[in-house]
Amino acid sequence: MNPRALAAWSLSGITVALASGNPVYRALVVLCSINVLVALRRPNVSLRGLAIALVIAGLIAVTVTTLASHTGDHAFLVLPAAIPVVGGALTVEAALFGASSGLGIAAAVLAAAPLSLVLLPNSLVDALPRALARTGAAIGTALNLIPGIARSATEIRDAQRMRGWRPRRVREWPDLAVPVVLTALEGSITLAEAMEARGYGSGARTHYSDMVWRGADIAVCAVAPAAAVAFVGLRIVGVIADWYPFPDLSVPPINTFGVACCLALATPALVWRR
Amino acid sequence: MIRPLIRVMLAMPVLATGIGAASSIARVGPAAPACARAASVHHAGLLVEHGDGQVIRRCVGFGTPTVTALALLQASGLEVGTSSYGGVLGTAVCQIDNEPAAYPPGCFTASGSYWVLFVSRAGGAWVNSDLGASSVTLAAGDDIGFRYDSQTGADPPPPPPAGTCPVATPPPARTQTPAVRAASAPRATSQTQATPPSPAATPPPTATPTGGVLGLATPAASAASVGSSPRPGAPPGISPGLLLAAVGAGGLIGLLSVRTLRRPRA
Amino acid sequence: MTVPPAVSLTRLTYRYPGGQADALDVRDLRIGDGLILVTGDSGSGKSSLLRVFNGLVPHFHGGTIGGSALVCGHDVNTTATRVLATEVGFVFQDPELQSVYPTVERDVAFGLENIAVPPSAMPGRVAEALERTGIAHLRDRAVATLSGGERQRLALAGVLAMQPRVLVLDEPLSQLDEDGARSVVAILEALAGSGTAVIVAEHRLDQLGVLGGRVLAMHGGRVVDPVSRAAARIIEAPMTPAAPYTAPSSVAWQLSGVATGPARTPLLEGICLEGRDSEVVALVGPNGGGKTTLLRTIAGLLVPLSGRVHREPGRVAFLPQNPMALLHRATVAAEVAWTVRGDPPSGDAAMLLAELGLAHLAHRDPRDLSSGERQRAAIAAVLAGQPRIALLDEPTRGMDTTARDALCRAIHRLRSAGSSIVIATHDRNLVAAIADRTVAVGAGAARELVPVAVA
Repeated sequence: MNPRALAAWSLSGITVALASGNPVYRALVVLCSINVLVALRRPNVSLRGLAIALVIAGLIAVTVTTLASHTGDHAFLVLPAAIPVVGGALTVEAALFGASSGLGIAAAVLAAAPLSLVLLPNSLVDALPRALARTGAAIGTALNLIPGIARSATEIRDAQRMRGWRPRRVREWPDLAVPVVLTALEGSITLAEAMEARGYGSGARTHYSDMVWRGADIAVCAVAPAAAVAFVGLRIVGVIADWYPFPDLSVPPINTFGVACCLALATPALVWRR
Repeated sequence: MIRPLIRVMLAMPVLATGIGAASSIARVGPAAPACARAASVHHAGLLVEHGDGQVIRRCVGFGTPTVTALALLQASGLEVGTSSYGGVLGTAVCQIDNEPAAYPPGCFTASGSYWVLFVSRAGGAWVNSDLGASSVTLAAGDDIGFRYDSQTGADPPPPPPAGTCPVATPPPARTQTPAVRAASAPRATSQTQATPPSPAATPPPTATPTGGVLGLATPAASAASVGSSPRPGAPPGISPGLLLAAVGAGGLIGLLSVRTLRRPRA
Repeated sequence: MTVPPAVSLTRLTYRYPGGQADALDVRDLRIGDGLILVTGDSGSGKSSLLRVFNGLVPHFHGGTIGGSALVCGHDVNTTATRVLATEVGFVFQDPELQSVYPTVERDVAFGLENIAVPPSAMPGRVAEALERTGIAHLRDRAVATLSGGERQRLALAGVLAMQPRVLVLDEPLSQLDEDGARSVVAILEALAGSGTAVIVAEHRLDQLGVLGGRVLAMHGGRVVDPVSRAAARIIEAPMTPAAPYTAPSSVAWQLSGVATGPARTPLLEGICLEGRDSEVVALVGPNGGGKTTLLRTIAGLLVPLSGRVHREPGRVAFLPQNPMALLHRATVAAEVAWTVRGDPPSGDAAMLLAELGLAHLAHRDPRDLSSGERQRAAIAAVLAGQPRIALLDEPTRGMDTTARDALCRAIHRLRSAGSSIVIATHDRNLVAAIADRTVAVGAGAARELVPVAVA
């Protein structure tokens, strides 16, 4: 799994998700992205948190739109108009529009999620262009230090608690903060020393090209952006239209080519294996 | 203690994004401007109150960023009689929808009624216009009102303009439609645009059913179309797109369920 | 002797920036191939000497250096660390603070990238380094999933890929459990036999004692006795075991049917243990097996998933794995005073400091002390007062002999005063010296080890 190919796929997915306001295409992007996530995520990664966050975001979108926009013919509840923003008819159309927006958010987020749930955290840093290789190494080492700092923070907190430390007043926080910061600093100096001992410094560097471009990677990197470009093109030409539930509720228009572009985004789930 | 704190801090951007995105898309307030993604076709509301109280509402579209009240009136399809004062003084509106039946060349009689011009900016309250109809410029979301008023007594404004042009009518993404165009047969979808869509807005006394927005335009008169959308109308049977989408979605869901069932790990 | 020695130091002196005295004062030292063991207390100059070999002293740490140091023909003073890194490989103490990239293969290639090895040659050298350290099967793994021993071998592979002439290791075994330490030692033996100069500073001589080779004993920055192994034996004197305490005593803590684990899933199940006053219980077992989890459960820091934990009222002292991180107050005395701030004033704290040999350092800033002194200061800070229960997590990790003796004295004192002490450790000497009972923790259970009768 080439990180750059996956990044290209993510960008394509986000583009398609946001390029049209049509819930059909967005739903297809959601399905493709979920497939990619489930097929390729790292072994111990749970998707539950992501799912909950998206459900909450969708509910917020539906609720806010329904309460604030009072357009549409099919009202299911009428609040007294005297209430400032919320007063008025709560309509089915507004709810559907909110749901469509929520779907758009979900599609974009799910298209971007594999970048953190499929790849190792530093792999994306490694996918930076050669010129930024040293920056990538620096960021990578910083990312490596974070779990250690978090663990030492828990350890220090426990140990200080056993000595009778209770975080009652702000004045007492230094008893936790200072040791954690000092430990982090000492750890980073130690790591810097190790890096220098391995020859890290100014001067010429080569790059270990373990980023291989296999057939599957090339396929993904070719198909996904092509689908995105085609989709945007169809949008500009007008073949793919937005969908609005007002002024009247209608079935969203579905164009075959648009659907084909969206389905093409399922390529990573089909050609890549974990 | 630390871990829940970190979780909350990470959840905040997600929630903020959700709220921000949602609220940017949601309409807040009854008079919010049209959808941010409106295509090039603009709309303004036209309200004409006859001397006997009869009210005509039209939602008129135009293609340029701004339009004069006179041009809007002329594009609305109503009968308009004007008299030009020439040069800087512009043109005055003497007759709308055949009222008054006749007027002098100077347009205004000494003590009779005349068409009073009101302007509502971006859904606000009516304001007496201090410019003539040919000088007042309107942008999308504004409303223009003409009230046939006798020169005696109070000078009340016409009924509120809310709902003349539906608040959330983002026109479909279409290519530019010129402000003045011969309209073809009324499109099914544009029909409802002139009727006040939200029952929540104070129901104005629409005595005149306005039927078809501008679809009634006679071929000769200049009528603006409101970005009629070439929606396929009634889809005849099952479109291939729908079929492909259904098959694709089914396949993806099937793939998903197979993968989830095959992954029994902790 | 046609082959010049790999390392040649002549009248070398070094002082850290802001240092009061010379950290190093070496008259004459020649090192050739084979294994060299460097011993000495903390503050004796071991670490400084090792860092001279690859140029970290003076280039990374600054300070003033005098005399001459030649490593593989390069003058350390004038040669950049980048060049010296091609000849000298350095492995540090902490397995977790040496890796840069997230995957094993990529991390081994880090050094090769730094010295501009052509990309076509890299895969071969990486594969060879992985083979030599025996972790070729871990090639595609994420570094974060490796154990301590595996990570230390990864660091070794990363260094060996650069094909150095000299290999320097600064306490590589101190953070490792028995299995990890043994695997690393095996590799070092193989390397020493194949022509590399291997210089190791290590306290755990019991592991390395099997290896032949020179011993460099250091004290006060000077090399005391470069050739005599007898000197090494004197420095690492075995601890005298204390007399077992046989009088019956009351239960201080008790675990009944406890299942516990750091996350929701239980790491240990069905634990039934108890500890009495004036007793030392040692928890032994592999890293990750649950020793720390068990200690934290007894301390009350971890709520058990099932079962009951009972503790008699009284203060609980908890010494974490990295106690030096706790010290942040202005003076050592202030740290100790804070721990006993709730207790009635007594001379206990001062006595503890004296016992640990810190009486003359009580008013110094802990950060200015050497690592061994800091460790003892941390022990004093945590164990001060009269804790009813004392829980120690790997207390002798990276400790020099003086600190370890001081720790044993402190534990003895606590024991005679009536505390119930539990120590998680993989230091067999410590267990033999002070433990009354031994419990093996691992594979989801805790089993009491019945001591073999001593003939």
